[in-house]
Amino acid sequence: MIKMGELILSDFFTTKSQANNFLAQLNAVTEKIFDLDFNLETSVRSQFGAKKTDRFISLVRENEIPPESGMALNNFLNHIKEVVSSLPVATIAFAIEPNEQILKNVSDWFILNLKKQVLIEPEIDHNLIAGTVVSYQGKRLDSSVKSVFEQTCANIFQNTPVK
Amino acid sequence: MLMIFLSVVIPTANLMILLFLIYRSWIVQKEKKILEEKGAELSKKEAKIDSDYHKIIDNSLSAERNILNDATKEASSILTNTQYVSSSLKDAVNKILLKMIQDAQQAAVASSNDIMTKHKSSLNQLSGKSLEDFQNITKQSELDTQKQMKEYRETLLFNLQKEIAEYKQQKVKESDKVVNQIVQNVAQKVLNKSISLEDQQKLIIDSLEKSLKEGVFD
Repeated sequence: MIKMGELILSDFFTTKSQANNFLAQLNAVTEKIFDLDFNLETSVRSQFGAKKTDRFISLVRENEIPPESGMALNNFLNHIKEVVSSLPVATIAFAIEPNEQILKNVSDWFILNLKKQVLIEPEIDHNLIAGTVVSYQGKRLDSSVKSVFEQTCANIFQNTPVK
Repeated sequence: MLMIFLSVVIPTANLMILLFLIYRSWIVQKEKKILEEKGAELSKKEAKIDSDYHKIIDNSLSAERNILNDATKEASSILTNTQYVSSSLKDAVNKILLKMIQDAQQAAVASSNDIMTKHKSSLNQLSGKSLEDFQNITKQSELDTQKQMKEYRETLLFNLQKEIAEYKQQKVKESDKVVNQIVQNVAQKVLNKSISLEDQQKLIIDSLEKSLKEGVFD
């Protein structure tokens, strides 16, 4: 029995595009589950690479899925696909190009504070100086340094008389 | 009996036929004579008619000749008279035309002299008036110019100076705006570059915290 919502997949992807790529890789594995010579580790390794393969095998074990059972594996992979497809998306504009570590930190922040994984759809706007502009399910907040800076500049220029 | 009858009747009949033939012959002779007399009479009449016809033709030809002669004489007379009239008329017309030309020349000379005299007089009057008008206009123009100059100094120049000052101020404002924008852009870029990666990460998390507090994720 698989419990919905317990799967945390931030080790495999943090952004929406990465999630789509993960789904494609998962489909490739699913297609071979019922082959006679199917081997989970080999098949996953060919799709995810060494590091993520270990994490994926651990995930299978953590959820007590017998790797030799094609049917059980197929159900588990389909469940993962459903979870991935239902993840919420937050569009976040960054002042710098976010590296993997920044994206992981943000993803972990969501898991820690919202108790669920949120896919990031990153945008880059160097004019923001620092901070972010977050858009989530129709709501938007500009908490970048740019807004503070613009207000400061406006005050300075307004107080400067025109000669 | 029959023979007797026949011997009597046949000669009688023959005699009667003979008598009839003699009678018919006599009648025919008589008619022939009448016809011959009528033919002679007709020949006479024909000869008479022929004679009359020739006589009439001769008379007609004679009359025709007479008429033609008369007509020729008359036409000749008319032509002679016409030539005379035409020559006379031509002379008369020539004389009249010559007279008209002479009269017209005289009238033209007189009219021309008259026009010249009048024109000269008019020109003299006009030049005198024009000079006077010109002096008046010049004087008025000078007055108008002085008036306009005064108005210009009092109103237009003042407004112009005011507009220039406003324009100058507007341009200075626009320049300030552009300069401010440039300064702001440069400062943003400089700040963006000068903030360390660690600080950037911290500000990202701070920003997420602020979004959480503002209820963006509710």
